[in-house]
Amino acid sequence: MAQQNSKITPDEILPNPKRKEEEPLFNALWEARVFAMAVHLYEKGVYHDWEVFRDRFISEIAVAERLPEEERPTYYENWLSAFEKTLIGEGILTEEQINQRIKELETGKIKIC
Amino acid sequence: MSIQSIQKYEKSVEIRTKALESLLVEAGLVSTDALEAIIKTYENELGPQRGAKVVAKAWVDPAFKERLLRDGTSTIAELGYTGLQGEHIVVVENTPKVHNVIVCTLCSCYPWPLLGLPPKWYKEAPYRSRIVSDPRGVLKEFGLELDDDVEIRVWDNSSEIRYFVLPERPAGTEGWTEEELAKIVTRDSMIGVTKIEPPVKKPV
Repeated sequence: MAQQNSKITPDEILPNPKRKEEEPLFNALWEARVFAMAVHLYEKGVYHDWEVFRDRFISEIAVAERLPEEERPTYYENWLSAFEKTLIGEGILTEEQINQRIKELETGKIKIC
Repeated sequence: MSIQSIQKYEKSVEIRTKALESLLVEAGLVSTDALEAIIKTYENELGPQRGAKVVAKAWVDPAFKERLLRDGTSTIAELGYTGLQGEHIVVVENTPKVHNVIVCTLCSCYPWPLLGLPPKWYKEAPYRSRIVSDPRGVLKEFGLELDDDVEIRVWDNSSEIRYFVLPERPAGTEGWTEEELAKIVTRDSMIGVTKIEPPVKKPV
């Protein structure tokens, strides 16, 4: 176990096989975008406190975890729902605006890249 | 769920995200450049290499370590590591008799400025509940078997405070420089689910 060999120098050591830190941060572009939006609005002071978002995120997770596994939203799906509710709850956007825009995007009325 | 309905569902989260982004851009609250900059920062700059630097510095500089344990937030800010989820950092030190481990029982709070975004398992329910109810068992699954007389302290980030574990310096690293030490500090050791193993010499 513990090897008390002070003669080892850093360039002589074996790489640590347990070091698995290379998983991607985001699995899809939308995950990265919705993450960044929540951070950006906070940094800009659009909502004064991170708790405004975090409380809603905690509620989404709590609801999700009561669902059977196959119906459970993913981490960033919870993030998205919490963010949407934050925007509505803080009076930044209305539910109607969001639904209208979703419809416009779905029908191709508005195109964005 | 059928493949069609999965595809439709994936599309719906994408469209919801795009809808929010386009409305926020129109309202002048968000710019695409700023979003891209944030994504790049989180992907490239924030990460365990920052925490590793803090740990290595604490190992070689006793005055820094003393300040770090007394006032984590401002001592870490000396290195320029500030920002969201780093507003109140408390550093907890591992010793031969006390082992610290962090969790967020309610969501996924984590010291972002020091470790970046958390790994998948940290965000999932099994770790979040079991590290509290059976810390010794969970640590064993990570390959860490602690003696019975080692006290395990589980720190819940579900408050304003973000905890950060200062792991023990492994034997066999005497005389190493700060930069050399930083390279052997792992993310998991700063979460507290593993220790840093003494370095093993390459066979000649």
